[in-house]
Amino acid sequence: MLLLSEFWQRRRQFSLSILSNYLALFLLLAVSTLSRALMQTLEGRLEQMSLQVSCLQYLDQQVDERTLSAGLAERYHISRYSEFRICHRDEYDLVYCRDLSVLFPLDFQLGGFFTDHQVANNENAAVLGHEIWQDLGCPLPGEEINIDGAWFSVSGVLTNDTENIYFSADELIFLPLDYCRDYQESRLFFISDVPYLSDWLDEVLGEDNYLLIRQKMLKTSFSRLLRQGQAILMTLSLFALIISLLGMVNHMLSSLPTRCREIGIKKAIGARDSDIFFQFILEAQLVMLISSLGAAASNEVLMKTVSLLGLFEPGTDRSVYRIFLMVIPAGCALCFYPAVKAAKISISQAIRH
Amino acid sequence: MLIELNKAVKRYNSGEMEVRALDGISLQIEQNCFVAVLGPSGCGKSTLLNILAGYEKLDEGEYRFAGQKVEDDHLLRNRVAMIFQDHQLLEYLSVRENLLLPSLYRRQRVEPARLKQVSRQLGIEGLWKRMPSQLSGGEKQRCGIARALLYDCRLILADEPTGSLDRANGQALMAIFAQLHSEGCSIIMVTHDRQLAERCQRIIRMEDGHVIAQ
Repeated sequence: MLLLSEFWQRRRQFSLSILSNYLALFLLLAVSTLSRALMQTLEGRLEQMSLQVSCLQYLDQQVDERTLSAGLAERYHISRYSEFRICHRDEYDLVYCRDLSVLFPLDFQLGGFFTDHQVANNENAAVLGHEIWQDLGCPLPGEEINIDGAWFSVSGVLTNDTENIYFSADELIFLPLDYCRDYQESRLFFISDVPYLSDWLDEVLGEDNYLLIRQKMLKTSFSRLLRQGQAILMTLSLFALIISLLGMVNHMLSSLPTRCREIGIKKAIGARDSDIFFQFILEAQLVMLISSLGAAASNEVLMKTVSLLGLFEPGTDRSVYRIFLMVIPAGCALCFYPAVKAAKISISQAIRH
Repeated sequence: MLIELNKAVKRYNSGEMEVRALDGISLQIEQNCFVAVLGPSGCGKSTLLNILAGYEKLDEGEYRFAGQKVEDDHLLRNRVAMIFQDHQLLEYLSVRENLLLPSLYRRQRVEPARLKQVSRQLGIEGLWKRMPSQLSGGEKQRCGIARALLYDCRLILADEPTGSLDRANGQALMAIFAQLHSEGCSIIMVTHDRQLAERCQRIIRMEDGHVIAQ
């Protein structure tokens, strides 16, 4: 209790060490938890965007799509796919496709996507992006609209800002593939777990005649990028922490001359070298403990704030606090040298001081 | 015999010069004595006290305490208490905490009754919560003495205890020493003041590291 009381009475001398350690630890924790949460959120978002969907975009318009689709389906056991042809107009883009809702989780404000069954029954159906729907006077499902001189019944309306990593749907009108007369761009969306298609595609489509974008590939790239960012930030935070710890050691060393008299008095009234040594170690431990507790509490507050603001969900992973198991002993180990120097001060030298 | 010093030598190096602060002193001090060590500045009085307290080691000679040879300060830790000229209280601790601090290092529990008794004896009972900066010179010195008395030491060493006190406080301090001596405590006091020294049982005169008269 006396040692704690001493520490409390001399808290001003330790306040800067505590503050710098606290800031460095908080930075380290915040970087670690925020980047981890960011990665989890990103991975979750990519999952929501249906991770298995790949996009094959043809650069050469002369591709025999039906043969290609059949070949792909046979070779890679692809059961769900949709050709996707885009025809650019001034105010909107026409997209000819099959039922995309079997590939992408699309959110509808009204109705749903036209089904392959409707198409087979020659039902002229259209799905509207949100902005186009508004431009067309907000027709309800079942109402007919005229597109490029033909009448189509509205099947569904997508919600505002519908997008995935392949397209933004607000200015698109989706029509059944069979109505396609001309197109400027064509793609094939399909679901496949097969990791590598390029060899066969090179053979069939010709090298450099296509683009293959796989969501898993994108996810891996994003994750790698984030991990690299996290590693850089963690390294910088660790440097900050090391500098802060060295600052604490420096403070302890530079305070030795001013504490010489105190050490002398304590030795004169019965303190052993080991008592002085452990006092310095205890002080270092208290500095590290207070800094760590402060940093942990601030980190929790930050996580709660981030969660309340809805930026992303930080999760409940507390494994990051394991870092304290390393940092607190490291701080004490660094203070070993000043503690030994303090313990070696002789009484007569100290009292004369 | 409480203290036996045999041909004790203590040297200090000051640049290229060697100073013999104690130059072959031999000394015997019996139990329950009240001794004054008198001499001019630099004659080795404080060094003698530091050696007796175990703060410094002899370069040559032998030091025996209660018949046992003193090799390091372990033997003396719980038996000798030092009273300094400038009280040596820790400024950031209250009077009470200063009094109790030695108990932490000596691994001795101080009974509250004992703390009260010593404080009353020295008139510092009402000062427990004060910080040293709020005390007068006499009060600080009495706190320093109380800290030394709390732990039943067999020998009290006082290094010019009246040096920073006015005459009245100096006399009061001597009265306290006289009372402690009458209760069985051994006291060795370093002083410049011949009048104070004459109130002791025995006077040791020192000069240039030698005992010139006892």
